[in-house]
Amino acid sequence: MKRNIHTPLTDEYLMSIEGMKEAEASPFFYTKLKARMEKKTEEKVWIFQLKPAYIITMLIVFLSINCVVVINQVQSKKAETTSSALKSFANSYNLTVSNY
Amino acid sequence: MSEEELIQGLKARDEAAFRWLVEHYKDKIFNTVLNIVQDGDEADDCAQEVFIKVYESIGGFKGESALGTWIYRIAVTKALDNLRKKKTRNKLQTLLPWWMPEEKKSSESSFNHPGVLLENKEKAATLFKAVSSLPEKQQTAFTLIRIQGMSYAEVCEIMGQSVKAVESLVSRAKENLEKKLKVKN
Repeated sequence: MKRNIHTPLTDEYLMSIEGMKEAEASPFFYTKLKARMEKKTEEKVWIFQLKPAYIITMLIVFLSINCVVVINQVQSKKAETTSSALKSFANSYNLTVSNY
Repeated sequence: MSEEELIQGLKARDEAAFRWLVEHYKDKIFNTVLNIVQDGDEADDCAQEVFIKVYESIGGFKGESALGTWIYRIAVTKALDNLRKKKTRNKLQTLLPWWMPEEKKSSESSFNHPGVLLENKEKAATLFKAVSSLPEKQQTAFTLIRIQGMSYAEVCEIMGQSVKAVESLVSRAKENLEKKLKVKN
């Protein structure tokens, strides 16, 4: 509701901004804005890459590679143990061990 | 460029249309934001955020109001958000001065509007400081109408309030300013 209130001090201070000129934005406003928008788009690409689906997929790939490496190592160790035991048995009875 | 063409261009992500919009509105938006946040650098940053928001949200613009009104509404919302963040920062600075010691407290510095005449700078700075301590809605209505010189009809559209509500906000703002300025004198 518009009331007729007496505010002489406010009116006096308001006089100080009478005829105030409009402030102007920087002449490079558009250039700065475009640069900021491009930066924001690049950041968005990174955020997209950090989405849970991507992180889970990467984790699964990483774990699969680890599993393959561990299984290979265990298998090669097993093979080594079997052949060395066979060789020592053959040596003790002066036999030759064929690889076939 | 007509408003309809401009909106179509913006929706089609046409760079020429966006550039035209920015060049046409940048000073008006910068001025509106500056009068609310009362800091040149922050106003520049905030005005950029306004245009980014316009670019991102134009798809949702249904034409229920004029494009200009819609942009001003975004500008006022962004400026008020900025002001709230600034106030929170200042409170944190008061509570934990060792945490953000380098930042200058905005409450201690006075705002000098670049468009004010030299002989009026001091009074204008006092007025701006008093306006910044008003409640948010009163500050917005008073700034847009009495400082920026917008019409009641425009401000009602921007603030989404009735004419009576805006008139009441301006009257209360004036009453509160009178009390604050009396204390200063």
